[in-house]
Parts: sequence; structure tokens; C-alpha cells
Amino acid sequence: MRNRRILVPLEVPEEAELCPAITGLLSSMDVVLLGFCIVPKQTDPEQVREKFEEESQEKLDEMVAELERSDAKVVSRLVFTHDRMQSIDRVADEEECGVLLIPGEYESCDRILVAIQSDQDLENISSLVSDLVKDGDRTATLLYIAKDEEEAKKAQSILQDAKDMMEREGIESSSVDLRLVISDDEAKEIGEESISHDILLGIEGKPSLAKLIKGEFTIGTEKSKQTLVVIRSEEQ
Amino acid sequence: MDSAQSHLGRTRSELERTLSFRQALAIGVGTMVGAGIFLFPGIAGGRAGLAATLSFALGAGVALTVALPMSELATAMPRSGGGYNFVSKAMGGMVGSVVGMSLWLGLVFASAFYLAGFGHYTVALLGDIGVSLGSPPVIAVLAGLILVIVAITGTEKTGRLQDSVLVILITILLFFLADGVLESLGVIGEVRTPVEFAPNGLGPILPVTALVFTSYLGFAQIANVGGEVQDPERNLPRAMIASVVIVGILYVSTLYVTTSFFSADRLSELGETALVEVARVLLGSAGAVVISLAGLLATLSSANASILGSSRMIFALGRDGLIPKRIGEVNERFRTPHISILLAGLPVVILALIGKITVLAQAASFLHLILYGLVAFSVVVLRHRDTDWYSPRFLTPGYPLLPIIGGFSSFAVILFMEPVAIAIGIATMLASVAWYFSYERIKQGGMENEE
Repeated sequence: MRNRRILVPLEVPEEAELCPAITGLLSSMDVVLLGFCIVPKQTDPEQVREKFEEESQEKLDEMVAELERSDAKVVSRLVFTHDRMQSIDRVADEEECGVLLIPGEYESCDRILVAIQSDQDLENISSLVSDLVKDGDRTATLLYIAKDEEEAKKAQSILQDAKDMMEREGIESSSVDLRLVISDDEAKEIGEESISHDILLGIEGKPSLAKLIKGEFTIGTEKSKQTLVVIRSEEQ
Repeated sequence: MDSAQSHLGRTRSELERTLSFRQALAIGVGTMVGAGIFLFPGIAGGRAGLAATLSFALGAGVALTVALPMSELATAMPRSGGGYNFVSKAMGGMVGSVVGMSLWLGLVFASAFYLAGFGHYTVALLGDIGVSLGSPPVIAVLAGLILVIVAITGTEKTGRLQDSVLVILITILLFFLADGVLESLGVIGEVRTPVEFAPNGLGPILPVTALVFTSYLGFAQIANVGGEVQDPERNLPRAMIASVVIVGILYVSTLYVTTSFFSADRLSELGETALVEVARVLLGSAGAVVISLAGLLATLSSANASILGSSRMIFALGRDGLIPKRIGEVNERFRTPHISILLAGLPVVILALIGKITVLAQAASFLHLILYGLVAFSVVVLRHRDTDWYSPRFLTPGYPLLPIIGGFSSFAVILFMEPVAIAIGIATMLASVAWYFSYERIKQGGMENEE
């Protein structure tokens, strides 16, 4: 069973806030809160630390307290960096986080869109989605974009397998929707489907979630509307 | 990963090391390449002829005997401030302070020198396309102001721009040098009569070494960003040594090509932009324009790197309480150290207006060479003292002979400089000593008042 620890990267000091929906989503989970403070190339990270460390650490501590109140197990890290992706990857590796959660703009977390591209990691996906759907009124849509009719047949059974697994974990059948689309423009279809959802969940790099929502998303620089949940791929 | 606990003891935040080997190497090469290739060939070749290749080779030798001990120190203390930190640790605050201040101003002189060169290249390029506009010093000042503004407000894009500029630059150079070497050997084009090795005798070789040593100041900039380099124990020594070897080879080849095509007398006339005329002979007027453009990029990137290096020195001085700490603070909005960038950049602009290229270059070298000598000796001091915290992963080969040679040869190069440059250097150091003692007194006074 892959590691279920969740890394939540947040730009500090400015982005340091979690909406109640996210806090609720993370309740009783194992969370690593990563505050990253961006340093311009021409500045020594030590200099930026001098100025922003105190404020950033305070905000991180507040968020840790908030998450702990909702029964999450929380560790926090604060990094001053020229390169946010490098820091996110490194801390995720060091803390052994199998999942990345990037909070979005929406202040609700009820409708989860799960992008499934193959039967790879299906068990992981199903069990993570089950964990997320278990409490509250959340629902999940399992989405498969097949290239042609032939793939669609296979896709139908993959989707059904995933749903069966979720039901075995105690998820009600009515909380899980299956959706199969035939198209060769995966990114466009997922983008359109995601409009009616609060959370987009997928596997890292298959294809990259960044591509999936058509350049709308770049960690930190421009928030995506949906909260993103990325299952990190094991092969590096 | 460095956790701050190791040196501040009050925090658990981390500083990400983001510079790869390639980027560290680019900082070294990018800082150096502007001078040795685009500004000195005419001046150096004019004084020593083909023998100037020896001057550049000697310079590389001295730089290497310092780069090796500096690598050892950098693996033991990989944080910003570089050479200044090493000397402070080995020889105490006063010497460290003088070296730190000298290095700040040494980089200011170096930067002004590169900008003055930028002015010459701009005028040459404009002249080639038939425009006569502005004089070199005026252009240098404008460029300096733009660099300061970009350094304060610049985004990540400018950093990326600088990386690609260097790749373009090296590509142009390799093409030009390959063609030049082949033509000078008679492989392509007509067979040439060999030029005289030392038209003015062997006398100018050492003074020219002293003059062109500014071309080798960049490797220390790699130690200056030591806190940001990934896997520092491996990458710092490799990047420092490789940068000296790479630019050394480029310089010697450039000088070989330049002095193969023009006599020493002609090179003296051509001065700073002699390389443009070599390109004209080799590749026609298109070649001249391309080399002029390369010269613009190279001098500007060297000037920029030196201003940023200088501002980091100022931060390190503030961190260690040798100047008011406020000076190193970053701007809330841009997160850049605006005060230290101004303190680095504005003197550059003023000096660029004076525009005496050879004096600026030697003053810069003087101040760096003092540091280099002390850095080399610091290795001996620290190893001899055998303290707990000193555990370098890279060991200077040929210890103790090599660092001792490095130390003495750094000081020896100074002896061959023009008196005016030596005078400027000594005055700068005396001013640093005076600052050190008066600031200590001000700080003590301040504390007494608080009590």
C-alpha cells in the first residue's frame, strides 16, 4: 500500500490560509504543510528569510493548529527557495508523501472529479477517493477519456472495477458517478468536465495535471479554480 | 540540506539549494568571459605581442592555485560571502572586514570596467552600421543605471535570459576561434608568415599578466553563491576549477588568433575593440557585427554578475555586523536587497563615467588578489589550527606547497601593476581599516547609550 501522507504546499506569507472546506477534507489525515517563500534569483535566500521568516512561520503555525483541531496529524516545513517545484519535490520525497494537494480558489470541496487513464494505480486511486468521500456529503465522478470505441470497452470495466473497490470500502453507490467520454482531446474534455467540480484528482504526469487544465494551472503563480489532488508517481 | 539551526540556532526553516553544477559554472564563466576575450586582446597583444598568450596562461595558473584552496574552504563553509567568510574565519574579524569591504569595492571596480567596455562596443557597433551616437562613458552610465533598476525590480525571466545569453556567446566564440586558429595555421585561407613571439621583448609579460588578471576574477563568484549550490561538496570545486580552465583556454586561443593577424603596433591602435577588427579580417563585416554583438552581451553580463556579487558581499558584511544590518534588508515588494544593490551599483555608474579601462581593471584585480592571497593562506591556517568544525570534503592537492605558491603568486602579481592602481587599492584598504575601527566604536557607543 502506497503512502497516504498528503503534502500541502502553500506560498507564504501571502497564500497562508486554508478554507474550512479544505480543513474539513484533511481532517483525520496525515498532512505535511509546506510553506514556501519565493526568492528572486538575484537575492540570497538568507536575505529573504531575515525579512519574512517570522511572519511566515506564524501563519504556518496557525494553520497547523487549525488542522490539528480537526484531528489531522500535521507536520510543517518552511522553505526559502528560488524554485518552488524543486522544493515541493524534495520535501515530498523527504517526508514520504504519496499525495500532493494544492488548494484552489473554490471554497467548497464536495464534488470530486477523478481522472482515470488506465488501470495503473487503480487501487490507490480508489482507496484515496474513498477516504475523501467517506465523511460528509462529498460525491465523486470517475472520468475516463477513451480514444476510440475499442478503448471504451476496456475503460467501462476499469471504471466499474474502481467503483466496486470503493463500495467495498463502504462508499454508497449513489455517491459515485461513472462517466466515459470518447475523444482524442483528453485535456479539453477533462477541462470541460472539471468546470462542474471542486476538486480534480489524478496521477502525476499521466498526462501531467498541469496540461490537463490547459495551462490554467501553474503551482503558486496562478491558482487553479479547483483544488488539485495529485497522486505522485513512484517511478522517478 | 542546510537547516538554519546549524548557524542561527533559533529557527527551523530551510534554504533550498537550487543552483545546479551547470548554473554554478555559468556564473563563473559568465562573470569572467567579458573581459579576457572582448576587452584585453588589443591592449595586451599591443604590449606583449604573441607573448601575451603566456601572460594569460600565467594568469590562469595563478587563478588555479587559488581556486583549489578556495574549493577546499568552500566545501567546509558553503554559504554566501564566499572568500570573505573564509578569511574572516581563519584570520579574524579585522582582516575579514578589510577583505570584505575591499571585495565589495573590487567588484565595483570590475563592474565599472566591464561597463566601460560595453560603452566601447556599443560605439563600435553603431559606427559599423553608420550611426554615431553618444560617447562610450555616457553609454556605460546608462547601461549601469538600467542594470541597477533591473536588479532591483527584475523577475525570474531576467535570470533565464542570462543563461541563454551565455550559451549564444560561447557558441559564437567557439566558431570564431576555430576559424581563427585554422586560418592562422594556414589550414584555410592563405599561408601566413609567422609573427614574432615577443616584439617588445619578454619584459611586458608579467606586467600584462597583472593587467589582464581581471579576466580571472569570476571563479570566486561561485564561492560567493556557495549557499545556493546543490551538492556543494561536489559541485563547488568542480565548477570553480572548470570555470578557470575553460576561460583560460578561451583566452589563450583568443590572444593567439588576435596576435596572429595583427602586429603589436596595430593592436595598440585598435585598443578595446581589436577583436572586432580580427573578425572583420576573418569573416567580413558580418563577422564584425556578430562579434560586436557578442562583446555587448559579454561585457553586460559580466557587469551584471559583478553588481549582484557585490550586493551579496554587502549583505554578508551586514549579517556579520561589520556595517549596519539594515543595508542588507530586502524590499518588501520585490524581495531584492535594494539598498545593497544601490550601494553596489551607484559607485559603478560613477566610475564608469571616468572610463579609464586599464586603471579600473587593475584596481579591481588588486583588491581581489589581496583576498586570493589571504584565501590561499587561510587553508594553511585552518588546517594547522585543526578546529572541530573545519572538515572540508575537498582537499587541496599538493598541500601545503600549492596554497603557499598560490598565496605568494597572488601577492606577486600585484607588484607588476601600475603605481596608480596600487595607490587606489591601498587607499581602499586603508579606508576599510578606518571604517572597521570607527564602526566598532559607533556600535560600542550605541550600546552604552542603550544601557
